[in-house]
Amino acid sequence: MIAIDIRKPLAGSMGEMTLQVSIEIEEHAFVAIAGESGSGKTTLLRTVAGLEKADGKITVGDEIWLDAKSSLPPQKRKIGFVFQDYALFENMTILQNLLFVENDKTLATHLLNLTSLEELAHRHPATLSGGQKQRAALCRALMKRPKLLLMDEPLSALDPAMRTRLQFDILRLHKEFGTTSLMVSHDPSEIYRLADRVVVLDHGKIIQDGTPAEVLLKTAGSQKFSFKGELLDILKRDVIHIAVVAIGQQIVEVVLDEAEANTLSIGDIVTVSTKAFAPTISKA
Amino acid sequence: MNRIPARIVNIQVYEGISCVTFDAFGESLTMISLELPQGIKREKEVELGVKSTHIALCSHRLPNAAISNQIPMTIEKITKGNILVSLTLLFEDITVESVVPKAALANLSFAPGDTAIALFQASELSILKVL
Repeated sequence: MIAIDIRKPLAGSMGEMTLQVSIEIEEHAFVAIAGESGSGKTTLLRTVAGLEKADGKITVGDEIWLDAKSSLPPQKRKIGFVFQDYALFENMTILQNLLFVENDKTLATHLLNLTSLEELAHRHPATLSGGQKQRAALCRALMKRPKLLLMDEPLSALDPAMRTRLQFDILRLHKEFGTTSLMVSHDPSEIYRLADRVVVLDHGKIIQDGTPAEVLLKTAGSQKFSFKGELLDILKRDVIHIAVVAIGQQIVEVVLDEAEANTLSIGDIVTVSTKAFAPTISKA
Repeated sequence: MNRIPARIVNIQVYEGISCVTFDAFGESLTMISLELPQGIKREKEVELGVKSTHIALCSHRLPNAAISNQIPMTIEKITKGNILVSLTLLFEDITVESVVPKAALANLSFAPGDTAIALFQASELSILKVL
């Protein structure tokens, strides 16, 4: 069990706030941390890693990493940290990057095989793609067989195809090494695929904590297919009206009856929803 | 969206699929849904929703049709367009709108004051909120 109970004043995007997080995480769990920019996600991860000071207590199993009396230095916490920007040593080959953390060539080779990087072991980071660099960073983070794998938006700089590939690599390594993983992510598909729990932060506080389906599924009553959008126009057509709604980067049309049209105004933020039985699906 | 107040009479759940029956002014309504939102229990008062374009009409109940919801309503107003017709219906004191193709009404001599049977499938009925 990992128990985190911390408080830390922060200067967030919305002004002063306090990061105040109290959670218990089961061993081997994969927890996604979501929330708006400036909500304290990265600070939470860095505090668990020992890279930021905070008040409170962090215990991992029977070890105390932080309490009122002491704070275990980062290098003594059994963590692996994967950053968004890879943070590899550019003057070392990929294999040397791994061995710098722990001089265990068998483990390094095993990790590189698992992530299909074995043929790139003697290349320098500058000669690799973003996806290859992040796979190497992931391998490096596991060289100390960490109890806790911390990942701060590890895939956000990658294209969608590479992101999917890396998601499977992360999941495979999480399971094989039996780590407990904490990952900051904004991507619902990534969270759904990887995590078994999602914690949503807002202004430094936990506002939601549940399974990905519980947290991510946007519902309106018994309607499972629900999106927020902006009403751009209402067009009168024959005896009906057509609402034109912007949802994300797309425009959709919804048929309205007279009564519905009378209650809406252009510019309204609206919920477009339907039952899960109504939409059809096909390969794009 | 037409809004109909109702009371939950029965809930049947199997492998995440739910079949819920309601009482609305003495008429039985049926809804199928995936997992139900929290707070949905027997005897709860709810507001149901059905879209006007999902309501078909006929002159009499259809005993041999696989349509779960067949509700008698009184026609209050008929607004004819070129392609579509909008019918304003009264279900007790609740106004319900049905939009159907004009051609579909060609053989039905509906007029204000007549009774029409509103037909819609269980998959087209939603719980909008718990009252």
